[in-house]
Amino acid sequence: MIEPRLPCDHDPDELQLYVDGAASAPRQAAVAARLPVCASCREELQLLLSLDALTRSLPAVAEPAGFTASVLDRLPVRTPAFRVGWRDAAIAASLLVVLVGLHHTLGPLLPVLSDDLTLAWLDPTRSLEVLVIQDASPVWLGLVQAAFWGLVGLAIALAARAVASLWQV
Amino acid sequence: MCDDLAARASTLFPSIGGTGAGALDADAPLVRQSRDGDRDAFAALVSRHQRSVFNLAFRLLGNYDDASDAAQETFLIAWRRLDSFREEARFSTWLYRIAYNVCLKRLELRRRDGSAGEADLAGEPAPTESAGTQAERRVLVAEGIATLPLKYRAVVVLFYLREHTYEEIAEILDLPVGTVKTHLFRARQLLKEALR
Repeated sequence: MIEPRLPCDHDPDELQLYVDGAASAPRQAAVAARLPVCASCREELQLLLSLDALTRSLPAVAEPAGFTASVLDRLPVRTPAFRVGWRDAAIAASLLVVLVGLHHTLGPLLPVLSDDLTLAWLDPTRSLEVLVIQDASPVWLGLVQAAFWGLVGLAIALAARAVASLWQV
Repeated sequence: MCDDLAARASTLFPSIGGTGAGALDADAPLVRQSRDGDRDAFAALVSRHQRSVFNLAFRLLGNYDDASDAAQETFLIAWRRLDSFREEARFSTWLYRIAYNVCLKRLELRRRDGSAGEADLAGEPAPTESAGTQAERRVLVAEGIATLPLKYRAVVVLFYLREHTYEEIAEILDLPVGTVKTHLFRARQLLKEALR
């Protein structure tokens, strides 16, 4: 049924790549050089071009009148904010879990969290001061502080966005 | 003669190449507005793509009414799943993928029901005495496409009628690019036989 080879024994797939302009430059050049001397390839190329032109010339079929209106009539109401809100809430909850974990894991590094909870949570400057006094590396502790309060800020922002989204719905 | 053939090949079929995922997708603003529930924006998207989606469905299903239902279902699914469209591909590519899957499901249902789904070549020019051989050959090609195995038909329709690249077709059909080429080449062999 399918003729896998050309009479000239050249690769017909190579000719198709040539027609599509998808062959590599050397192969494209090789086919172009072969065409003047290979009648089978020329005949095959002619047939391919004819087939392609016919196929591309098939007329588009018109969709039924009022198609857009029919689709719009069936559209349910979208509530995209609801989904985003729950996603944000999940991220915020995950961040809070991470923060609790940090609190327990890094407790010794952040003595303010255990020594003076009331002020330390709200005053990162003071907690840094306490840590510096304890002879810890100020750079490292500064990074820890910054990351900690950054995470707190992110969790609050996401939670606020989630609440706002849910409120809209 | 040979130069002429080569020139026709290069002008008719410019180089195949990837378009770059999501690059300069003119639909992007409308998609974002639609995501926010803007029905007018989605209506614009439907209006822009309905002819293409409908024709893809028509060529795959071979029946006008089925194609209309499938195209409508495609847009309804797209509306519901807009949040899952990540703009890593063109919107049309994503849409055709949905349409293809909708058609696959319908063909599977047909197969289970044992209903062949009568071929309906509405829109094809009927060959007449005065139409000449070109129109007759066009009908032969249309009929040939309709009788191709589905895997070949899908590639041919996307390549010729929707003018997608190998890479885009691979993405729509979820196939390796090499398989797309093989299907296209085999489909052409079959269509050429129909023309001989």
